[in-house]
Amino acid sequence: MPARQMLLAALLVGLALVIPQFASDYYVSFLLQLLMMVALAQSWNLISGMTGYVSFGHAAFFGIGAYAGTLLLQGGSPWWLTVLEAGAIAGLVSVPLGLLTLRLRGPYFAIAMLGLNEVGRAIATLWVDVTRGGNGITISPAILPSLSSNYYTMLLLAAAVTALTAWVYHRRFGLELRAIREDEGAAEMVGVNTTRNKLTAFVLSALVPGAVGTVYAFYTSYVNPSSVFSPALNIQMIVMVILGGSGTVWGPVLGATLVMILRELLWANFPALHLAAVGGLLLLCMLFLPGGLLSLGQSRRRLRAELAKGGGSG
Amino acid sequence: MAERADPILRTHDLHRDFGGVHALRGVDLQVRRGSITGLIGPNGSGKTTFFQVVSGVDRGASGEVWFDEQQILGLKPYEIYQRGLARTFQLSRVFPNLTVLENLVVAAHRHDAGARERALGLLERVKLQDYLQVRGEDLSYGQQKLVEFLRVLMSEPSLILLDEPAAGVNPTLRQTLWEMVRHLNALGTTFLVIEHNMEVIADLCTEVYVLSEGEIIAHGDFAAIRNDERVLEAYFGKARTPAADRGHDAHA
Repeated sequence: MPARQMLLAALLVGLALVIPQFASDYYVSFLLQLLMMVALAQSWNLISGMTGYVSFGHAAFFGIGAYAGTLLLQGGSPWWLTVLEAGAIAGLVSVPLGLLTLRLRGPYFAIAMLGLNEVGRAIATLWVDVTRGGNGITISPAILPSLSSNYYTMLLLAAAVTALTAWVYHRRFGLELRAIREDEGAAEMVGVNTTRNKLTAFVLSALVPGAVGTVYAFYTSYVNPSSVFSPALNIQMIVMVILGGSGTVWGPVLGATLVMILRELLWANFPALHLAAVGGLLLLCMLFLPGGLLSLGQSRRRLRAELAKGGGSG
Repeated sequence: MAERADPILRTHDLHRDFGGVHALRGVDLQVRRGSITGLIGPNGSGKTTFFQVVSGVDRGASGEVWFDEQQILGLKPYEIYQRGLARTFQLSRVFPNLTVLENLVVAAHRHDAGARERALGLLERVKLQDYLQVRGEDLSYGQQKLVEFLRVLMSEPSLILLDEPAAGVNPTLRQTLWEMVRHLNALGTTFLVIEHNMEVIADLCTEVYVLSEGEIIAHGDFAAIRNDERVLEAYFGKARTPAADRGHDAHA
């Protein structure tokens, strides 16, 4: 990662570390949700932004993590270990699912993933003995970690998945993923093992949502099928990534931050309008900035380079 | 490089059917190591299907494909590429949103530490060194075809299948491309070329195979196949003999 971006990352993490020292619980809660969306959007970006395999079902891993974490915590596992275990479970589940779904391309993959999320929700609803069905599970406050513990864990997860994305992006692996996004057939023709790369990216993209789901369950102290296996949550991930810049390191961070702040500002004053505003913003972005807000900077740099080239040769 | 008698690529009884259409019917073909071999034939004769099968893109064929004495039929394209057989496409397939440098580096072997330097060297050779950070889609079509050609050179393959590499390319870039082919051939790379320009085939290839309706109907040097009646019939629909030509002139 370039030094300037490292500095920016360090500044952001430093700021996020000290905010809870002087901010009220309201703002800490808001930031926790923002960090959650950064982590989820970034995870979605790892598979969908990098390879072009648009997943409409990543909330399934979030839901699996939320239920797994809740049950493990109630079973006596320490909360911090539960977070790791839930991430690992989501990652393990993603292996056979990836092997099955990544054979599909384009809309077929998207629909298969959407179906996967619905299957998760159905299982959570119908497996009453374990999940208590539609009533959900309330976690006893006695075993829950504190708000600040949840906040710092979410910060760690958001920072970890962003660092992972940066690492992937600047490695040969990331280049191969982007080649798959551009033209999978041509990528395979120049030696890229597309099956292995897609599966690896898919599993990496499932780990953090699993862990994030657990922290979310701790934060709300309650989990039920429709709140965690939520298609709306998945759409939010997609919107944030597209808005910020798909397949980039900072796009999901920018998109998630922007949407969450907009939502917070509009929610209180214009409750009926806030979704329309986010939708409108997305529409404008897709029409005029298909590369996301980050591409604004790239376009400017390209224009400057073009002008410099023209000036040099003229 | 001097040609050697042992073939680097050998196919035997290669068949590919699409429903009732027999795209390849028992194709037996040998590409001598160190040669530039031509593969010609009218449109729809099965040339590109042959490339698809040999390069692993199409895995529905039956028969045998031997590359470097190893049977490769059924292997995946990336496995075949990693063994040293690379190909280009009829229509350019550069990665549109990757830079020219990225387009090249991604095609190098995974643990190749010198990939970037090799890419720079190749780009300099064709005078595209100023285009390193230009995205694939921002290149002209001819430049895209050239970059696609350079891309397959990144893994230093021993056999390259070129599918109409000069189609849609301007004469200057075309010249550059054929010069590179000659240069690489002199260094030991073998080529199998699909090309419609017969002057190029005559100039470049030591041996030519002619496909028609999925069958090899002739092979040999260009001088031999250009007068082969089956070849003339495949291209023109009937045998053109000097006598027939004279008769035609007389009626005109």
